[in-house]
Amino acid sequence: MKAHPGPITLLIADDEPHIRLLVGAKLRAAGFNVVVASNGQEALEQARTSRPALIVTDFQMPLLSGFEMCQRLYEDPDTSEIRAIMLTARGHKLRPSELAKTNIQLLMDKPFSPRDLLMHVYDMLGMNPEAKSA
Amino acid sequence: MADASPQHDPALSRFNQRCHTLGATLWRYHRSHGLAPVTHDAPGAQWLAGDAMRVRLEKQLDLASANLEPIEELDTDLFAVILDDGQHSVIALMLGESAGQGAGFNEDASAAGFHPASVLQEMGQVSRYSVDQLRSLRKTMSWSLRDLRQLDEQNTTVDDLTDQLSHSYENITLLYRMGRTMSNLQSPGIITQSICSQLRDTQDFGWVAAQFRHDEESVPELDGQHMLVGEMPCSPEAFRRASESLLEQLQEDSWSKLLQVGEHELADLAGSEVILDPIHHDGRVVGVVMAGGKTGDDAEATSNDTQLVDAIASFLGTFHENAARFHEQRNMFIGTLEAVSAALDAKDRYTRGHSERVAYLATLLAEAIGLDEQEIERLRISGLVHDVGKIGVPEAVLGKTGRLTDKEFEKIKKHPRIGYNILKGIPKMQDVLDGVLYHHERWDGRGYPDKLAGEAIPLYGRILAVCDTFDAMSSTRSYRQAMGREEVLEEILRCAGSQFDPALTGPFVGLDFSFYDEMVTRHQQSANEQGQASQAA
Repeated sequence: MKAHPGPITLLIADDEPHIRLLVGAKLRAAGFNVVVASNGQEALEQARTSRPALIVTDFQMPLLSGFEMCQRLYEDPDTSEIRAIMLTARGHKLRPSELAKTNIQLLMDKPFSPRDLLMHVYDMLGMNPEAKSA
Repeated sequence: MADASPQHDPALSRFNQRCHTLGATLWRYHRSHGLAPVTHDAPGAQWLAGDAMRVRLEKQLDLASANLEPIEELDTDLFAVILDDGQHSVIALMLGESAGQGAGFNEDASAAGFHPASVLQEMGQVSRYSVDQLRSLRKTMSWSLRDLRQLDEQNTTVDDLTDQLSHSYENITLLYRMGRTMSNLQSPGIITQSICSQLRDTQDFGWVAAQFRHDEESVPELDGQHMLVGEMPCSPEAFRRASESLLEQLQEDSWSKLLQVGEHELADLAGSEVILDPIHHDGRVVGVVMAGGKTGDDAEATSNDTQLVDAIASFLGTFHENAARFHEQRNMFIGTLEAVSAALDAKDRYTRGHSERVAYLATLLAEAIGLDEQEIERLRISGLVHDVGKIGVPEAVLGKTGRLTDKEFEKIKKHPRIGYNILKGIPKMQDVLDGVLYHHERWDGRGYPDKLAGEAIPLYGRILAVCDTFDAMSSTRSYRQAMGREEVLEEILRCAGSQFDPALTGPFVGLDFSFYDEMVTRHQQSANEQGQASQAA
């Protein structure tokens, strides 16, 4: 039986539908409440209204990049606490000085294994995946 | 890596070999695995890497502390050098300058249960160092260990990148192949099957399947088809039914999906997660691509899997549209040819349906002598248009009831050349021109227009010659009555080697003429109806 880690909301921001599909399915299956956005602007608004515990975002997106979106959230005291995992294609490495302007805690290379992503999500939320299924 | 297991630390193993030459015995401390010698083959190991030494180290060193002294003097002539590899987890035991000389060593060895002289003999080669030398050595050894560890990490990164690169290469190859096959619209069923098979191989799926629904715009090769590449844990029939009903659901909700075991019938049947992507044609869902049963270390779908299945579904959508358009165009093209030739044949009630029948006989004969599908199709078209040049022959000559004069016959003999000239400007007709131009040549060289003989006559011409003559003899013409089947076939055989290619007459008389006879009856009826209608008018 799947345990429900309470009403923990996660935001997925990616312009590629298959990524939203894959990550969404995995996180929902793990019991999270998942909201999605298909561009940076939409993600920014969604983050302000849904107040997710964590954002899983793409780097390159239409209207507003994932990096700029995270930067704006970090600049706003209301949303500066929202942490993010960024999915990037190799070669889009961000410098530590850039990351310091955001609350991005982790960079993951695309393509990625959703299992690894889920482990990182648990880790960042301080959850124990073993205890989950109890 | 701080958590590398002591059993698998290739950098430390290599470092250990180097340390042997320096006379250092290595111990490794791990929070959960405790203290252990790196190997048991160092000089003097029976003592320096033995159990008594472990007890002694545990007692004398505060291993869990972050503030270990860099060099701990275990005894006057034995030092524990704590290497600075960022983790304080490697300890090198090294002998002091006076090792073996003073009473301390002898007492230590005896207390540990060894005979001091034999230990010393074994350790004769082991270097001894002053404290200052140990300080310098500690730095160098620490650097060396760090470098080896970094090198290992870099090697791992290189391995990862190599893996990713080869995977990307496979992906690109798959997409490239798909791009190339896109232009081949002749056999959409085989192409779809081959794409599913390539997707399966590239991504380590256990199986890949495509299901198409019945759609009025679909091509026959794909319409309602179910294709499965790979092995399924359930019966193929059960899977087929499940994918058909899934396809019906997709009419309402046409998004890509990731079906989980326990949540969807199809995933339960497959016994694994299933990725599915709908195939769209002009905005309608006409099919679905499904993939599952992943093998390998990580049996879950990755972002790369979902991306490729998505790409293949949209490729198949475009391919489906193109194939349908190609099919439609081809039908229209052939339909036009049929209409033109039928109109031409209808000018004379005796030749009504002649071109259609010759086209049919040509395909039968082509099949009987083993020509491929493409050639059969060309012969059909060639048969349909073989007499199109009669447009340029006066109707009075074509429909004349009595014997033709030489002059009139010369006019008739022009029709292959006229037909050829009409069609040669049409790009799609290049492959069928031979049949049109040479269907009145004779094997013995006494035909027209070019008096070619034997194999110098193109094959299409030789095939059409037999079929054309057979149909002419079998039907009533303005100048004579139809001959009976037996008589016609005997005549065909009799003319083998004179009028006809002898390799063709045998297969020809062996053909099944039952459908041909139905065609004749149908054409006669329509001719009679038209005859009555014109009499009534």
